[in-house]
Amino acid sequence: MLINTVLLFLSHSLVIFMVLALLISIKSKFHLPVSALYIGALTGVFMMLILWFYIDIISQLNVGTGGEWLYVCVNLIVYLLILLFINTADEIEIMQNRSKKYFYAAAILALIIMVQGTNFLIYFVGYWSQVNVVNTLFVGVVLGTGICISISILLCFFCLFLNEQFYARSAELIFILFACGLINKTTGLLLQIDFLPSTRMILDLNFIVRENSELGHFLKALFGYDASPTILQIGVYVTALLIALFCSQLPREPWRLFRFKEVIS
Amino acid sequence: MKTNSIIFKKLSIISLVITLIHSTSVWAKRAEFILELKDHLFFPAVIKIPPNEKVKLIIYNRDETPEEFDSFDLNREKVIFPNKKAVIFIGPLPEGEYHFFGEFNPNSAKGTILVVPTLVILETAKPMIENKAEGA
Repeated sequence: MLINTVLLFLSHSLVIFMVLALLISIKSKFHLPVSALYIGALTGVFMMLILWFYIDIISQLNVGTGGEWLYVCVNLIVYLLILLFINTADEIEIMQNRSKKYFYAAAILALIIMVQGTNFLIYFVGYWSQVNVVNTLFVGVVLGTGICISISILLCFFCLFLNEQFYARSAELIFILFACGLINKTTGLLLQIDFLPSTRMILDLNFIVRENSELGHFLKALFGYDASPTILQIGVYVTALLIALFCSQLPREPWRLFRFKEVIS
Repeated sequence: MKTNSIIFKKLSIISLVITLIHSTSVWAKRAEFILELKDHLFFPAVIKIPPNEKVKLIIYNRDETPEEFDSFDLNREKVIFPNKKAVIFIGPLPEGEYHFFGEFNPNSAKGTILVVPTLVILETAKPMIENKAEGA
């Protein structure tokens, strides 16, 4: 039960901590105040509680596909918000643009907390009533939180390092890959409810990184890694990535490879 | 930047139209298979489905706690609320064994989907493999 709680917490909450790490790593570049993140987090928790209250009703809508449709809509909105947020990087610092940035960052964080937090809350509250599991659940959450914080701190410093030494927009690029990962998850959900036509998986990457391994979970949370995608999933992912790169005008800033080489040497 | 935004909007509309056109091709009726979850066990623990065919899996949760149907082999993940049902489409799959489990109770809630030729399914249709107390 303890290990399962930790694993479930990691699989659902790691995404939240990763988004937070990415936002913190580009905070200074985007002149983003910490208050935007606080507001986003609080709104997210509030929305999570509301969604948790109605999720069983929503999931039964549209012949039992309501849950998938909700996640599809949220994932698409977050993808668009990330693109819009990254687009504001070079906008002139006027009051209107600043409030747009605040809104995008807070909305991204709030929606991610709402979706991912609800999934864990279903498990946490569902098993709360069982005898002798309350302590285990709490210990599991504490351990999971510790691991998530450690990973997010490492990710944040890694992004800052890449920004400084390798390519000035590395963190933004990682954020874009994260957004495309959401699109990949969306395709999976649409295949699951038979909205998109299924084809056979085109390749199986389980021999390189198993999807249920620690690295697999990490890559799934960060880039929406799928070890056995179909041709449709790859097509949608590549399209989403090209649209994102085109809209964000990446790569635009000079590479800092020479500095990277200096650091390595 | 304005040109970018117009192109982006056009691309979004085109993608949406293509998706909707594609979606109409999959409105066909699918073969249905029923799975029940009781006492954190899947019944039947083994389901046989035909190869290269998309099928509909209806899962009933008879427990008082939620469960999450999960399968790395099938690329499927869905929460099933207490005393509710969930619908998942799987396939088309080549012949083989595909494992699934309940993410909230992975030690007990386990099962397998066997993709076998239609003839084998018809021969063994009567006795669905029973679940054991300790799992599949």
